[in-house]
Amino acid sequence: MSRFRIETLVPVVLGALIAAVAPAAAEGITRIQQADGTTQVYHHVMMRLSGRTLWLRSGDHRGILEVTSGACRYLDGLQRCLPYQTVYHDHGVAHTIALEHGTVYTNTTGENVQLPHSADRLGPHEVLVLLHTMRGTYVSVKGTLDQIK
Amino acid sequence: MTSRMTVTACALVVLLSLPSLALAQRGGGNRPAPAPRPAAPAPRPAAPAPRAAAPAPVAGGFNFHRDTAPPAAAPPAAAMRRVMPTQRATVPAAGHRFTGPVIRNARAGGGNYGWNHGIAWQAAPTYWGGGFWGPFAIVSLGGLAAYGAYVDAQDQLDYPSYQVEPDTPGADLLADYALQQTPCGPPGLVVIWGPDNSVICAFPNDQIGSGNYQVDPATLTLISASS
Repeated sequence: MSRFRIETLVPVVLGALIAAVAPAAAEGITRIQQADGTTQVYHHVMMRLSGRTLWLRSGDHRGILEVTSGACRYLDGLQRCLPYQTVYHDHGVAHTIALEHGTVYTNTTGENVQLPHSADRLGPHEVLVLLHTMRGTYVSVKGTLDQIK
Repeated sequence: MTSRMTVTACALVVLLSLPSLALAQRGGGNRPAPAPRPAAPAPRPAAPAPRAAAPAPVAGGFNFHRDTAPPAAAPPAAAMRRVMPTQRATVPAAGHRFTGPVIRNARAGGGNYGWNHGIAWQAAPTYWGGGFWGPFAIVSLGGLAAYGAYVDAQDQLDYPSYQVEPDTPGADLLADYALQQTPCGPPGLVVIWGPDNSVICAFPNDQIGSGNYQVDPATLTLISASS
Protein backbone atom coordinates (compact mmCIF):
# COMPACT_ATOMS: atom_id res chain seq x y z
CA MET A 1 0.00 0.00 0.00
CA SER A 2 2.79 2.42 1.00
CA ARG A 3 4.77 1.39 -2.11
CA PHE A 4 1.74 2.18 -4.22
CA ARG A 5 1.44 5.59 -2.58
CA ILE A 6 5.09 6.49 -3.20
CA GLU A 7 5.01 5.29 -6.79
CA THR A 8 1.94 7.40 -7.37
CA LEU A 9 3.32 10.40 -5.51
CA VAL A 10 6.74 10.61 -7.13
CA PRO A 11 5.53 11.42 -10.68
CA VAL A 12 3.09 13.97 -9.26
CA VAL A 13 5.81 15.70 -7.26
CA LEU A 14 8.22 15.57 -10.18
CA GLY A 15 5.62 16.95 -12.53
CA ALA A 16 4.84 19.83 -10.18
CA LEU A 17 8.52 20.65 -9.75
CA ILE A 18 9.23 20.56 -13.47
CA ALA A 19 6.25 22.81 -14.11
CA ALA A 20 7.53 25.27 -11.51
CA VAL A 21 11.09 25.28 -12.82
CA ALA A 22 10.47 25.15 -16.57
CA PRO A 23 10.71 28.55 -18.25
CA ALA A 24 7.36 30.06 -19.07
CA ALA A 25 6.58 31.78 -22.34
CA ALA A 26 6.60 35.16 -20.62
CA GLU A 27 10.14 36.43 -21.05
CA GLY A 28 9.66 40.18 -20.85
CA ILE A 29 12.00 42.18 -18.66
CA THR A 30 10.84 45.25 -16.80
CA ARG A 31 13.22 47.71 -15.20
CA ILE A 32 11.88 50.30 -12.79
CA GLN A 33 14.13 53.08 -11.61
CA GLN A 34 12.69 55.08 -8.76
CA ALA A 35 13.15 58.82 -8.42
CA ASP A 36 15.80 58.22 -5.75
CA GLY A 37 17.86 56.09 -8.11
CA THR A 38 17.02 52.69 -6.70
CA THR A 39 16.26 50.15 -9.36
CA GLN A 40 14.32 46.95 -9.57
CA VAL A 41 14.45 44.47 -12.43
CA TYR A 42 11.64 42.02 -13.02
CA HIS A 43 11.92 38.98 -15.23
CA HIS A 44 9.29 36.74 -16.77
CA VAL A 45 6.87 39.58 -17.41
CA MET A 46 3.95 38.51 -19.55
CA MET A 47 3.14 40.95 -22.36
CA ARG A 48 -0.25 41.13 -24.00
CA LEU A 49 -1.35 43.65 -26.61
CA SER A 50 -5.06 44.30 -26.91
CA GLY A 51 -5.80 47.01 -29.44
CA ARG A 52 -3.81 50.02 -28.31
CA THR A 53 -3.47 48.79 -24.74
CA LEU A 54 -0.45 46.85 -23.57
CA TRP A 55 -0.83 44.67 -20.49
CA LEU A 56 2.27 43.73 -18.53
CA ARG A 57 1.83 41.12 -15.84
CA SER A 58 4.52 40.46 -13.27
CA GLY A 59 5.93 36.97 -13.03
CA ASP A 60 4.19 36.35 -9.71
CA HIS A 61 0.86 37.48 -11.21
CA ARG A 62 0.39 40.03 -8.42
CA GLY A 63 0.83 43.20 -10.41
CA ILE A 64 -0.39 44.27 -13.83
CA LEU A 65 0.63 47.45 -15.61
CA GLU A 66 -1.82 48.67 -18.21
CA VAL A 67 -0.44 51.12 -20.78
CA THR A 68 -2.79 52.77 -23.26
CA SER A 69 -1.29 54.58 -26.22
CA GLY A 70 -2.35 56.82 -29.06
CA ALA A 71 -0.87 58.77 -31.94
CA CYS A 72 0.47 55.54 -33.39
CA ARG A 73 2.71 55.94 -36.38
CA TYR A 74 3.72 53.10 -38.65
CA LEU A 75 7.18 53.18 -40.14
CA ASP A 76 8.60 50.23 -42.04
CA GLY A 77 7.09 47.55 -39.85
CA LEU A 78 7.67 49.46 -36.67
CA GLN A 79 4.78 50.99 -34.75
CA ARG A 80 5.61 53.94 -32.55
CA CYS A 81 2.96 55.13 -30.12
CA LEU A 82 2.71 57.71 -27.36
CA PRO A 83 1.41 56.29 -24.08
CA TYR A 84 -1.07 58.59 -22.38
CA GLN A 85 -2.71 56.48 -19.69
CA THR A 86 -1.05 54.12 -17.26
CA VAL A 87 -2.90 52.10 -14.65
CA TYR A 88 -1.22 49.79 -12.18
CA HIS A 89 -3.38 46.95 -10.91
CA ASP A 90 -1.90 46.02 -7.56
CA HIS A 91 -3.44 42.94 -5.98
CA GLY A 92 -6.63 43.76 -7.84
CA VAL A 93 -6.72 47.45 -6.91
CA ALA A 94 -6.35 49.91 -9.81
CA HIS A 95 -4.05 52.92 -9.36
CA THR A 96 -3.72 55.53 -12.08
CA ILE A 97 -0.10 56.52 -12.56
CA ALA A 98 0.38 60.07 -13.73
CA LEU A 99 2.52 59.83 -16.81
CA GLU A 100 4.71 62.61 -18.09
CA HIS A 101 5.69 61.08 -21.39
CA GLY A 102 6.87 57.90 -22.99
CA THR A 103 7.15 55.86 -26.15
CA VAL A 104 6.01 52.39 -27.10
CA TYR A 105 7.73 50.69 -30.03
CA THR A 106 6.24 47.51 -31.42
CA ASN A 107 7.69 45.39 -34.18
CA THR A 108 4.59 44.24 -36.01
CA THR A 109 6.52 42.07 -38.44
CA GLY A 110 8.10 38.65 -38.30
CA GLU A 111 11.56 40.07 -38.98
CA ASN A 112 14.07 42.20 -37.14
CA VAL A 113 13.43 45.92 -37.44
CA GLN A 114 15.88 48.67 -36.61
CA LEU A 115 14.82 51.35 -34.17
CA PRO A 116 14.89 54.89 -35.55
CA HIS A 117 18.13 56.77 -34.90
CA SER A 118 19.52 53.73 -33.11
CA ALA A 119 21.72 50.74 -33.77
CA ASP A 120 19.35 48.58 -31.72
CA ARG A 121 16.85 46.30 -33.34
CA LEU A 122 13.58 44.83 -32.25
CA GLY A 123 13.01 41.17 -32.94
CA PRO A 124 9.81 39.79 -34.41
CA HIS A 125 6.79 40.96 -32.39
CA GLU A 126 9.08 42.46 -29.82
CA VAL A 127 8.01 45.51 -27.81
CA LEU A 128 10.05 48.26 -26.20
CA VAL A 129 8.30 50.52 -23.70
CA LEU A 130 9.86 53.61 -22.16
CA LEU A 131 7.89 55.58 -19.57
CA HIS A 132 8.64 58.54 -17.35
CA THR A 133 6.08 59.20 -14.66
CA MET A 134 5.21 62.51 -13.08
CA ARG A 135 6.86 61.37 -9.87
CA GLY A 136 10.15 60.71 -11.56
CA THR A 137 10.00 56.96 -12.05
CA TYR A 138 11.59 55.58 -15.20
CA VAL A 139 10.17 52.35 -16.55
CA SER A 140 11.59 50.34 -19.41
CA VAL A 141 10.14 47.13 -20.69
CA LYS A 142 11.44 44.88 -23.41
CA GLY A 143 10.19 41.54 -24.57
CA THR A 144 8.28 39.60 -27.12
CA LEU A 145 4.51 39.77 -27.09
CA ASP A 146 3.00 36.67 -25.58
CA GLN A 147 -0.45 37.45 -26.86
CA ILE A 148 -1.93 39.81 -29.47
CA LYS A 149 -5.64 40.47 -29.65
CA MET B 1 12.38 -1.29 -0.99
CA THR B 2 9.96 1.32 0.21
CA SER B 3 12.66 3.22 2.08
CA ARG B 4 14.94 3.17 -1.01
CA MET B 5 12.22 4.69 -3.10
CA THR B 6 11.57 7.30 -0.45
CA VAL B 7 15.24 8.25 -0.40
CA THR B 8 15.31 8.38 -4.21
CA ALA B 9 12.24 10.57 -4.31
CA CYS B 10 13.68 12.93 -1.73
CA ALA B 11 16.95 13.15 -3.62
CA LEU B 12 15.10 14.00 -6.81
CA VAL B 13 13.10 16.67 -5.05
CA VAL B 14 16.27 18.27 -3.69
CA LEU B 15 18.04 18.10 -7.06
CA LEU B 16 15.14 19.57 -8.97
CA SER B 17 14.66 22.37 -6.52
CA LEU B 18 18.21 23.62 -7.09
CA PRO B 19 17.53 25.28 -10.50
CA SER B 20 14.56 27.13 -9.07
CA LEU B 21 16.77 28.55 -6.35
CA ALA B 22 19.27 29.64 -8.97
CA LEU B 23 16.47 31.19 -10.99
CA ALA B 24 15.26 33.15 -8.01
CA GLN B 25 18.79 34.40 -7.38
CA ARG B 26 18.96 35.72 -10.92
CA GLY B 27 15.83 37.68 -10.24
CA GLY B 28 13.68 35.21 -12.11
CA GLY B 29 11.42 34.89 -9.15
CA ASN B 30 10.07 38.34 -9.90
CA ARG B 31 11.89 39.88 -7.02
CA PRO B 32 13.74 43.14 -7.22
CA ALA B 33 17.23 42.74 -8.59
CA PRO B 34 19.91 42.30 -5.99
CA ALA B 35 22.10 45.24 -5.22
CA PRO B 36 25.06 45.46 -7.57
CA ARG B 37 28.35 44.49 -6.00
CA PRO B 38 30.50 47.45 -5.08
CA ALA B 39 33.43 46.08 -7.08
CA ALA B 40 31.41 45.63 -10.24
CA PRO B 41 32.03 48.30 -12.89
CA ALA B 42 29.16 50.53 -13.84
CA PRO B 43 27.61 49.60 -17.20
CA ARG B 44 28.33 53.08 -18.62
CA PRO B 45 31.21 55.05 -17.21
CA ALA B 46 29.52 58.40 -17.81
CA ALA B 47 26.33 57.44 -15.98
CA PRO B 48 26.22 57.40 -12.21
CA ALA B 49 26.34 53.93 -10.74
CA PRO B 50 22.90 52.72 -9.70
CA ARG B 51 22.25 52.70 -6.02
CA ALA B 52 21.47 49.59 -4.13
CA ALA B 53 18.01 48.32 -4.82
CA ALA B 54 15.64 49.18 -2.05
CA PRO B 55 13.35 46.41 -0.96
CA ALA B 56 9.89 46.86 -2.29
CA PRO B 57 7.43 47.76 0.44
CA VAL B 58 4.73 45.69 -1.19
CA ALA B 59 4.81 41.95 -1.50
CA GLY B 60 5.01 40.91 -5.12
CA GLY B 61 4.03 42.75 -8.26
CA PHE B 62 5.92 45.78 -9.56
CA ASN B 63 7.25 48.50 -7.30
CA PHE B 64 5.17 51.60 -8.04
CA HIS B 65 4.74 52.60 -4.44
CA ARG B 66 5.91 56.17 -5.09
CA ASP B 67 3.57 56.59 -8.01
CA THR B 68 0.57 55.08 -6.28
CA ALA B 69 1.03 56.91 -2.99
CA PRO B 70 -1.48 59.69 -2.24
CA PRO B 71 -0.37 63.08 -3.54
CA ALA B 72 1.20 65.59 -1.22
CA ALA B 73 -1.21 68.08 0.32
CA ALA B 74 0.22 71.13 -1.41
CA PRO B 75 1.86 70.69 -4.80
CA PRO B 76 4.96 72.79 -5.41
CA ALA B 77 4.41 76.13 -7.06
CA ALA B 78 6.59 75.16 -10.01
CA ALA B 79 4.27 72.30 -10.87
CA MET B 80 1.34 74.68 -10.81
CA ARG B 81 3.04 76.96 -13.31
CA ARG B 82 3.72 74.08 -15.62
CA VAL B 83 0.07 73.17 -15.74
CA MET B 84 -1.00 76.61 -16.88
CA PRO B 85 -0.07 76.19 -20.56
CA THR B 86 -1.92 72.90 -20.54
CA GLN B 87 -5.22 74.50 -19.77
CA ARG B 88 -4.66 77.31 -22.19
CA ALA B 89 -3.56 75.07 -25.00
CA THR B 90 -6.50 72.75 -24.70
CA VAL B 91 -9.24 75.35 -24.50
CA PRO B 92 -11.78 74.29 -27.09
CA ALA B 93 -11.87 77.04 -29.64
CA ALA B 94 -14.68 77.55 -32.06
CA GLY B 95 -13.85 78.54 -35.58
CA HIS B 96 -11.08 76.05 -36.31
CA ARG B 97 -13.32 73.93 -38.47
CA PHE B 98 -12.63 75.24 -41.91
CA THR B 99 -14.82 74.64 -44.91
CA GLY B 100 -12.64 76.11 -47.62
CA PRO B 101 -11.10 74.18 -50.46
CA VAL B 102 -9.01 71.11 -49.73
CA ILE B 103 -5.48 71.41 -51.05
CA ARG B 104 -4.69 67.92 -52.24
CA ASN B 105 -1.61 66.23 -50.84
CA ALA B 106 -0.12 64.44 -53.82
CA ARG B 107 2.53 62.69 -51.74
CA ALA B 108 0.32 61.13 -49.08
CA GLY B 109 -0.96 57.60 -49.65
CA GLY B 110 -4.44 57.23 -51.12
CA GLY B 111 -7.58 56.87 -49.04
CA ASN B 112 -8.03 57.53 -45.36
CA TYR B 113 -4.79 57.06 -43.41
CA GLY B 114 -3.00 55.81 -46.49
CA TRP B 115 -0.02 57.78 -45.20
CA ASN B 116 -0.10 55.54 -42.07
CA HIS B 117 -0.39 52.19 -43.86
CA GLY B 118 -4.18 52.42 -43.59
CA ILE B 119 -4.18 52.44 -39.79
CA ALA B 120 -6.24 55.22 -38.22
CA TRP B 121 -4.23 57.82 -36.39
CA GLN B 122 -5.82 58.82 -33.08
CA ALA B 123 -4.65 61.69 -30.94
CA ALA B 124 -2.94 60.90 -27.64
CA PRO B 125 -4.76 63.32 -25.33
CA THR B 126 -1.92 64.15 -22.95
CA TYR B 127 0.35 65.45 -25.70
CA TRP B 128 0.25 68.83 -27.41
CA GLY B 129 -1.58 68.42 -30.69
CA GLY B 130 -2.35 64.85 -29.69
CA GLY B 131 1.22 63.93 -30.61
CA PHE B 132 0.70 64.94 -34.24
CA TRP B 133 3.67 67.31 -34.24
CA GLY B 134 5.88 65.33 -31.87
CA PRO B 135 5.97 63.79 -28.40
CA PHE B 136 5.37 67.05 -26.54
CA ALA B 137 3.88 66.08 -23.19
CA ILE B 138 1.47 68.84 -22.18
CA VAL B 139 2.68 68.77 -18.59
CA SER B 140 6.20 69.54 -19.79
CA LEU B 141 5.33 72.41 -22.10
CA GLY B 142 6.05 74.95 -19.38
CA GLY B 143 9.72 74.00 -19.51
CA LEU B 144 9.88 74.00 -23.30
CA ALA B 145 10.71 77.06 -25.37
CA ALA B 146 7.74 78.06 -27.48
CA TYR B 147 8.23 78.55 -31.19
CA GLY B 148 6.18 81.72 -31.32
CA ALA B 149 2.48 81.96 -30.57
CA TYR B 150 -0.70 82.66 -32.44
CA VAL B 151 -2.66 85.44 -30.79
CA ASP B 152 -6.40 85.33 -31.21
CA ALA B 153 -7.28 88.94 -30.48
CA GLN B 154 -10.99 88.33 -30.82
CA ASP B 155 -11.12 85.57 -28.18
CA GLN B 156 -8.32 87.10 -26.10
CA LEU B 157 -6.38 83.85 -26.30
CA ASP B 158 -2.90 83.05 -27.36
CA TYR B 159 -1.85 79.65 -28.59
CA PRO B 160 1.82 78.79 -28.09
CA SER B 161 3.48 76.87 -30.88
CA TYR B 162 6.42 74.46 -30.78
CA GLN B 163 8.98 73.22 -33.24
CA VAL B 164 7.81 70.16 -35.15
CA GLU B 165 9.77 66.98 -34.51
CA PRO B 166 11.09 64.89 -37.39
CA ASP B 167 9.50 61.53 -38.19
CA THR B 168 6.05 62.73 -37.17
CA PRO B 169 2.86 63.14 -39.18
CA GLY B 170 3.28 66.89 -38.81
CA ALA B 171 6.78 66.81 -40.25
CA ASP B 172 5.53 64.71 -43.15
CA LEU B 173 2.72 67.18 -43.76
CA LEU B 174 5.17 70.07 -43.96
CA ALA B 175 7.47 68.10 -46.26
CA ASP B 176 4.60 67.03 -48.51
CA TYR B 177 3.60 70.66 -49.09
CA ALA B 178 7.24 71.82 -49.17
CA LEU B 179 6.53 74.13 -46.24
CA GLN B 180 9.19 75.43 -43.89
CA GLN B 181 8.14 76.03 -40.31
CA THR B 182 8.75 79.40 -38.75
CA PRO B 183 7.76 80.84 -35.37
CA CYS B 184 4.16 82.01 -35.21
CA GLY B 185 3.48 85.66 -34.58
CA PRO B 186 4.31 87.78 -37.63
CA PRO B 187 1.57 88.43 -40.17
CA GLY B 188 1.50 86.91 -43.63
CA LEU B 189 2.29 83.34 -42.57
CA VAL B 190 0.67 80.01 -43.28
CA VAL B 191 -1.14 79.21 -40.02
CA ILE B 192 -1.89 75.49 -39.68
CA TRP B 193 -4.32 74.30 -37.02
CA GLY B 194 -3.68 70.72 -36.01
CA PRO B 195 -5.43 68.33 -33.61
CA ASP B 196 -6.56 69.62 -30.21
CA ASN B 197 -6.21 73.30 -31.16
CA SER B 198 -2.50 73.04 -31.75
CA VAL B 199 -1.07 75.53 -34.18
CA ILE B 200 2.13 75.88 -36.16
CA CYS B 201 3.20 78.40 -38.76
CA ALA B 202 5.17 78.25 -41.99
CA PHE B 203 6.39 80.52 -44.75
CA PRO B 204 4.01 80.66 -47.72
CA ASN B 205 5.15 79.04 -50.95
CA ASP B 206 3.84 78.55 -54.47
CA GLN B 207 1.43 75.84 -53.30
CA ILE B 208 0.17 77.34 -50.07
CA GLY B 209 -0.56 81.01 -49.66
CA SER B 210 -0.67 82.87 -46.37
CA GLY B 211 -3.78 82.37 -44.26
CA ASN B 212 -5.42 79.86 -41.94
CA TYR B 213 -5.60 76.16 -42.68
CA GLN B 214 -6.80 73.09 -40.87
CA VAL B 215 -5.21 69.65 -40.98
CA ASP B 216 -7.26 66.61 -41.92
CA PRO B 217 -5.32 63.80 -40.21
CA ALA B 218 -7.16 61.13 -42.20
CA THR B 219 -5.84 62.30 -45.54
CA LEU B 220 -2.93 64.42 -44.30
CA THR B 221 -4.29 67.35 -46.28
CA LEU B 222 -4.77 71.04 -45.60
CA ILE B 223 -8.19 72.63 -45.69
CA SER B 224 -8.28 76.34 -46.27
CA ALA B 225 -10.29 78.67 -44.08
CA SER B 226 -11.31 80.85 -46.97
CA SER B 227 -13.45 79.73 -49.85
